[in-house]
Amino acid sequence: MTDDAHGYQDSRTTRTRWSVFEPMGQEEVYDDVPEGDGNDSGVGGSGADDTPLDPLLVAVAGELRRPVELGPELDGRVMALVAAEPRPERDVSFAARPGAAGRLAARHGPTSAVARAWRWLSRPRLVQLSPLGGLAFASGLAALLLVALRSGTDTVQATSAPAAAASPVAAAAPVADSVQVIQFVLVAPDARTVALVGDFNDWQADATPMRAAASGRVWSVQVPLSAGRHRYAFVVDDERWVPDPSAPRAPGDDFGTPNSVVTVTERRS
Amino acid sequence: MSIPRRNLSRVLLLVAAAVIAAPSVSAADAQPVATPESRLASRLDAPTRNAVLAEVDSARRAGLPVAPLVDRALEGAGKRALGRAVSDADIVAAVRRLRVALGSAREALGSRADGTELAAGASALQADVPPATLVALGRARSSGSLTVPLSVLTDLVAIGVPADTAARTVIALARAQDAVLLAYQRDVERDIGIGALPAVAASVRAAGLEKITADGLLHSPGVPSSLNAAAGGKPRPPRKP
Repeated sequence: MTDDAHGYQDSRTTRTRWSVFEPMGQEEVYDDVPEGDGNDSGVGGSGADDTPLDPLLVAVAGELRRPVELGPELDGRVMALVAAEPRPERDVSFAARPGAAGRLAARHGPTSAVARAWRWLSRPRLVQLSPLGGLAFASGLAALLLVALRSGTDTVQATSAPAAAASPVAAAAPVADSVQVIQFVLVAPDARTVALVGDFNDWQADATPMRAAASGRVWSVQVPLSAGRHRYAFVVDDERWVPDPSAPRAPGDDFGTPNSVVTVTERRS
Repeated sequence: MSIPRRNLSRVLLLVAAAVIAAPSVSAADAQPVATPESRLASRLDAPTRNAVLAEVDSARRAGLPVAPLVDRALEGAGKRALGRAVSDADIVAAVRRLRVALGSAREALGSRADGTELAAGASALQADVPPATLVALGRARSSGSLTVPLSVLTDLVAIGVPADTAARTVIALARAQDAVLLAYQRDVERDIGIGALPAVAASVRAAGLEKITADGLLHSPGVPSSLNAAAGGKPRPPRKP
């Protein structure tokens, strides 16, 4: 049902009531105009019932149907006006848009560096890749993933040493199949410095200093060792050569000072 | 942002190549190859160094590992640096004795023995373990490394177990895994530490392990499954409820 100043249609009764607004303020009402009669005038019609049309109505309809003559310069003026309008920027609706961009614009202003940076980052771009470029990109990603996995594995393995152990063998923690982290411990309450020397550091007293616990009595250090049998000793106060009292002595004391020995297995079993 | 397609492909290829090559380059930098000459250069004077390098060359020609020889020379140098009375002749003699022991270990263990096994065998020989024991141990442990059995044998002798007793027990346990052998050694050390006779401790502990590793008792309910697995036995089937 329509209802405006010019007419209404009651769909319930199939009767149409048309009002034609007259310039003089009068309103004439025409009843019983058939609805949907196929007349494209929309106001009355020359249907099959041969109802005579009001001449005024025909005249008004004819006037309304007459095409408006537009001058050829109108198109030019309209296009000039359109071209003169500024192009709509994305940030016109930037602040009103929900999401990160809108929040950034609301917080920092639509022209702030943060908002502009975000617009630069979030603006979609068309990137063309050749098959070779795509292959290179994919291989680069795969290489990065491989490096990340490898470094992550190394990190986990390198930090898997036990906190404390009573003997070097019991302190073994796997790092790789052939390398394990061994913790060496010496109880030396009166020592000022303690260092570990052995086959693994070319017997250099300054290569592997040991650290004292808070009590100052227990000295320890962790060393990665390859699988096999390693001779070692402690150097206390830079002068005393001390074998490990909790480990077997190494045979073949060629230099008059005993050493200890630690056996590192191929892998933890 | 517009990158020419051809340049983008080249850049990506270069990045991929650099990423792939980086780990190998860093690994090569992290592990420089240390030659015997470089290890000995700053630790021994020239005559002693040359004498040691002659032993190293002799060992290399015989197919023996050379790292233990350099280690022994550096041990002497380190002790001398701390004021011990170690002469150049002592260092050269120690290196020569070790080379001879490595050669004997090679003869006893055969050509299949690797460097760590030969070093462990040389230690056993220097602990007065007869070469025949090495041969028997190699036969008893037909598969797997001999490094740990040889080390356990040597260490048992070092803590006072008679060589024949140590040889008998280790050969009897030769098929056990390395962890079992090392646990056996620790148990014997502990027993000796609380007053047991070394020979008795080694024999009793070995007898207990032999019972566990024997096929008839391998699946005994009293044996922990973890020990069964560590002893090289067959896994016990799950117990039915």
